[in-house]
Amino acid sequence: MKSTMPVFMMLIGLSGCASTPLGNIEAFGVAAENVSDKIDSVIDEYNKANVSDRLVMMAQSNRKYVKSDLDPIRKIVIRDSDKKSFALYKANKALGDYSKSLTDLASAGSQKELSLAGVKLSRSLSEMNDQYKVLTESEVDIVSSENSNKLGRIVAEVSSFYAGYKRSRALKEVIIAADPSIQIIGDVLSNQLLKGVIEGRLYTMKGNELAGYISDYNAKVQTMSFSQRKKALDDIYAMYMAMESVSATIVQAQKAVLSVTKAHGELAAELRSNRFSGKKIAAALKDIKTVHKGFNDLEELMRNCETEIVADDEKGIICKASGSDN
Amino acid sequence: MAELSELNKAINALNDLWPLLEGEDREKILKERDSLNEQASELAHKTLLEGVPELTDAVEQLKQVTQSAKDARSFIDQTAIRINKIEDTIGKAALAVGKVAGLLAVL
Repeated sequence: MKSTMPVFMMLIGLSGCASTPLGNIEAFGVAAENVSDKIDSVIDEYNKANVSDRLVMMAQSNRKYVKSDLDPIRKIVIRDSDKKSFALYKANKALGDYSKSLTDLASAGSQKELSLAGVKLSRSLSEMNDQYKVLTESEVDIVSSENSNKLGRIVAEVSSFYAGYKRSRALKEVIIAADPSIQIIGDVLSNQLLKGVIEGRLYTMKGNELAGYISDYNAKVQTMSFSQRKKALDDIYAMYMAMESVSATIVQAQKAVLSVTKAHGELAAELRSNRFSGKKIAAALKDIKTVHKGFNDLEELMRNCETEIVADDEKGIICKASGSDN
Repeated sequence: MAELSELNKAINALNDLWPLLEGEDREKILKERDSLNEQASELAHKTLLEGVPELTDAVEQLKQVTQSAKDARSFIDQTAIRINKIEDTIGKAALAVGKVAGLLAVL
């Protein structure tokens, strides 16, 4: 009992780390991807609106034009098409890269990879034993087949726990360290750039265009019939509604940004507080039990597989069937 | 950001005025509107391009944390590599033992 207590305590400790909510990390990754798409579509819309705005200004003037008058528009297209230079885009990319690195870290040191390393170790020990018996011309094993399988299994299992422990600790440190930056980026993207700059400009640019149609209406109103006026006003009203709904696109992008900061904030708070619910500990312990059973099965596999142990994408670690590629 | 907001407000106000005017008055107000619109467009572009200092700092810090996450992953991945190294060493030892056994058999 004395010797099993520290092991049990270590398992509890590990379970605390192992209950790092990987599901939330996944949710964060999905949310970050969503932000990227939404911001891309907002930037596209903003670029198109800028070009249209130049054409609106030209159309509202009485000037006559030549080809070179269109050059400034071409410059806008070139300038704005380089989205990568936007701080908005850079911040979005930094979020995306971070999200990917977090997902990669969450899957580091996979059980499959460590199991295969354990299998190879077991095989090497067995070969060494065979060579030893040849050398000494004896039938006495230095490492029995059973023990080499067991050693392979133990090394793989311990390594898996070690990798899991390191992974959980690293995830905790990384997420807590990143959270202040994530919150600032989310706030600036959402409130200053999307809401403060893009929404205001889109609304004003649509207003510039609408004013041109209202001006046309006012100029012709004395000569128009009722039905002509009604038709013209219907068109103007549709444009007015489009201008008023500009914020809907921005709100969608803002929501996407806020879902990222919220998911990350919750993740960081959970890890910072170190408060793991009983349910989570139970789930983590269940995971550990499943992992242990998995490694027992691996030892059994090492003992009985007469061909080769391989990793299969769908089936996991399996014994290769004789006479087949898989 | 406040400057851009003021510019947009002024442009919107002029857009509510010029459609009612004619002749020179209309042209004058439109010219003023276009000038403010140019300024607003430039300012918006500059802000989107350069961002704000707090954003630049936060992005830089996030990049550093991202690198830490990549380093941590690489460190954890070394675990499997270490086991493979042990396996490789034992394999080499087994091979050496076999060669010695072969030599002894000849002698």
